[in-house]
Amino acid sequence: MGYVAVQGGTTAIENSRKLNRYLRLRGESAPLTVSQIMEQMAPLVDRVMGEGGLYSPFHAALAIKQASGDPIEAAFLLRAYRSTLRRLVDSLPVRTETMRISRRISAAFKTIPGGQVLGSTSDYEQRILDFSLADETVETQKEVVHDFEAGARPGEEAPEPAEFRKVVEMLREQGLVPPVPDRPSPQPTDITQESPAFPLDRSGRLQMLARAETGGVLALAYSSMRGYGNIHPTVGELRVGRVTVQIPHPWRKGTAITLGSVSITEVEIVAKTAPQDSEEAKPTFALGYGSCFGHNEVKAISLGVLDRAMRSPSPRAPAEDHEFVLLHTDGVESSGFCSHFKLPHYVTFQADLDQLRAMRENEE
Amino acid sequence: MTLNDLLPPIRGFQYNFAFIDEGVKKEIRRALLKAVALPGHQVPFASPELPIARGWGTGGLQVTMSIIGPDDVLKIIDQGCDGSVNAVNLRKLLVATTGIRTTFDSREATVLQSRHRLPEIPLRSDQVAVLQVPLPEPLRLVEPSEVETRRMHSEGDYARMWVSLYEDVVQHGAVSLGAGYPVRVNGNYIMSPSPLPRWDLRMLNDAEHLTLLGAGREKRVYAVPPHTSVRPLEFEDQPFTVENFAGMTCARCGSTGTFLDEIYDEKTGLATRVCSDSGFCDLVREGAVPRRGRLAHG
Amino acid sequence: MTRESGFDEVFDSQATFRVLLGSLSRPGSLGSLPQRPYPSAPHGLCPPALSILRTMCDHRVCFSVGSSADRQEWISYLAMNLSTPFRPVEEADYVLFNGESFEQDFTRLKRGTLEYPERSATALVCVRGLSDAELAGGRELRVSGPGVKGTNVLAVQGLDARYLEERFAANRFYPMGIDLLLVDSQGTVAGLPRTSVVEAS
Repeated sequence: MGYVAVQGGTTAIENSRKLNRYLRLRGESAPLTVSQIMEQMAPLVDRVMGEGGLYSPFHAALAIKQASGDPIEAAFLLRAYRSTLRRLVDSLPVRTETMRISRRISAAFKTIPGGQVLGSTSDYEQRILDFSLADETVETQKEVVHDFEAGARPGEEAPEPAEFRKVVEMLREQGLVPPVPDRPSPQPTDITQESPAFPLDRSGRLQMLARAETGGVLALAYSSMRGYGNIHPTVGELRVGRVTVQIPHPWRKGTAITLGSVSITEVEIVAKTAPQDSEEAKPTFALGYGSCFGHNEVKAISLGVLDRAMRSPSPRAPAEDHEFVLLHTDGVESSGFCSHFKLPHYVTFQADLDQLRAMRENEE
Repeated sequence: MTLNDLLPPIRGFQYNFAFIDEGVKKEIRRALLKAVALPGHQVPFASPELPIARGWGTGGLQVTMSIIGPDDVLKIIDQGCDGSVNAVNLRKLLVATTGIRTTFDSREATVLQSRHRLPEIPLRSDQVAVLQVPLPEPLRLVEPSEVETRRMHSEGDYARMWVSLYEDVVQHGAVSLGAGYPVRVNGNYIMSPSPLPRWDLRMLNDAEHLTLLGAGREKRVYAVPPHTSVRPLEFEDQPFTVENFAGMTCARCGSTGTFLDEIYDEKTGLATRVCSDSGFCDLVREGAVPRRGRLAHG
Repeated sequence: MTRESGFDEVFDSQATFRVLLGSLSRPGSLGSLPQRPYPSAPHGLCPPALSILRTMCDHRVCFSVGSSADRQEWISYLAMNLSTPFRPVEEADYVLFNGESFEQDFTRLKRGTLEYPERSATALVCVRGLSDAELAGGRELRVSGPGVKGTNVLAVQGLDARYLEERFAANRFYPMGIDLLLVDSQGTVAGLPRTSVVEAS
């Protein structure tokens, strides 16, 4: 039975793999190229990079293709690939004040230094299905690109500022937000190199949030916004753009090497605090911070809300409980465990059956 | 040397012997040495992702990958069966990355990786059992917080666990926990034996072999050295009992003293019983070992 | 001084680790480490100890050396051969001692905490000889506890008695404590985890 069963299992797995591939390719459409996914499904690529914890649009797009569009499966592929890569060096901290902004808004103030930049967003698009997209051709593509590029006229207004001052900095200067602590920052935890130990420090929490599954953090943040908790958040600032990644020069101390840039979304939430929150004599607002790879606003806002919620002095709601939030929002872990219930549980079930039957006998 | 020389090829990658890299193995090996010095205590480890999904045996797999060598002989089972699809899949990965010999005969294995069962033939001192664990924390039954359960273990504060078992007895007439029954190791830590049936727990107690347990998703390893006491939690007047197979016989080999799976025939729909340990069942059918009569404990 | 070659990172590590796993899970039993030539090993530092350190250590842990006459030489040799930072003994994860004479540093080994007892040191003690037969001028150790059926008896030469006394003191408050590996130049190794009860003659 052993050999036959093993052969049977092996054949079943192989046939399943072949079936998956067949189902993906048997239609009349030409195979998707990785470039098509990278270029025309950027938000999905960004989401997968964020949840996979690896910034590489090419590999994320490849994973999406392999997963036939399933975002959690694609993030898993990317995460597993990341585990095989050698860690060379840690980058210097990224300065988001110098971000090359492609979108930047604040809900706290109507006008802000540097201005509000709407950028690329679907926020104000009418959600009406556009059937013309079904007939898009290479010709319509060229026309759209040509028309846009012909109409764009850079530099007509005042030149873009090199740095957009943070809204939160303005509030900080007025003492409305706590000052940055004077002490040097401790070495950040690295959640990929050690098992997170609770209570987890903030650097570890922010890392876990950064690669959390979008739907998971959204659900918990939503619970907080709806009233399971006391946050009352305002989006102080949301920025999307490219930030420079640098590493320390190996032998020229004090200088850095620029490796390139990555695109991120960063949100700073300003929240009201209950009087006992603040250690200062005068009450202040409190901050919640969220950032993730790529352009993923729903996730970044949710992370900012959860960062704040998890620092509640008297946690009551699920979104305020560190362990609840952090241990249940990793998509790779949660989907894996969820799926594992499909594995045979004959022995555990047999044990349960045996128990139940014995208990029923006792009742008689 | 340029940056490009340090980078891996964009397309494809190479894997190490037993897949995981030496850094990952070292961390697990350090954890395992401490684990055997602290029987039943859960030692954290980083547990990076593998190509196998979380919850599907990554912990057991990482332990096996960290201990296995080219001369080992591997048996890998799921619910007692070598042919279970997931066992097949894990075996594929291990063989592809090590080239080691595998076996279905538990007597030949030097490393036995298992999900939820121990073989019917007791393991010897030259064999290592690696168990896959979904939920390593036995106190999760009474306490959801990791911070709190860690404190409870550190102080040996297990009162709430006993209260929970007591309430169970009051409500159901007996402790209603099935597989994964909590045990006390070396008179000290309360441990989850992984979802082994109660039938198998005696094989952990004062065993000839070393047992290593890995929980990949929860990022913990722990160990039970040989010749270490492993006692299920029980009340004096409520002795621990195992699953009851009285009057049942394996339809394939005739054993009456093994843990039996209840199966429903594909064609007739009739219920029969067969040995969960398919390797043992095969050995009996081949005449290599005698069929197992009723054991004192079950 | 050049880095010792001849230790295979993958296969020697695995073989060495399996022996160590056996030593600590069967305390007092004797294991045999794969022999590798380390021609530059300083006097008193038994070469198999380097194999053990190369197996167990990387940049995420740190090592130290119990102070002795040859301390600086040992530190330089190990720093050359391990990619592992050197730290004071109170912080170190793996600490090397010469068993011939007792080093006071042994009393400063870290013992972990109640919540994290695994954050404790592993002490490697180089001895002159280990055997399951009697050794001239040696001491008999009777080991019992988890991992041992009844009692394991072994003989050790070149182990100062104070190591065993201080080991007992360090392990008084289980689960905190330290774990010991005794190793000789032939690669014979024995483990004494904190759970073991050791009686010495």
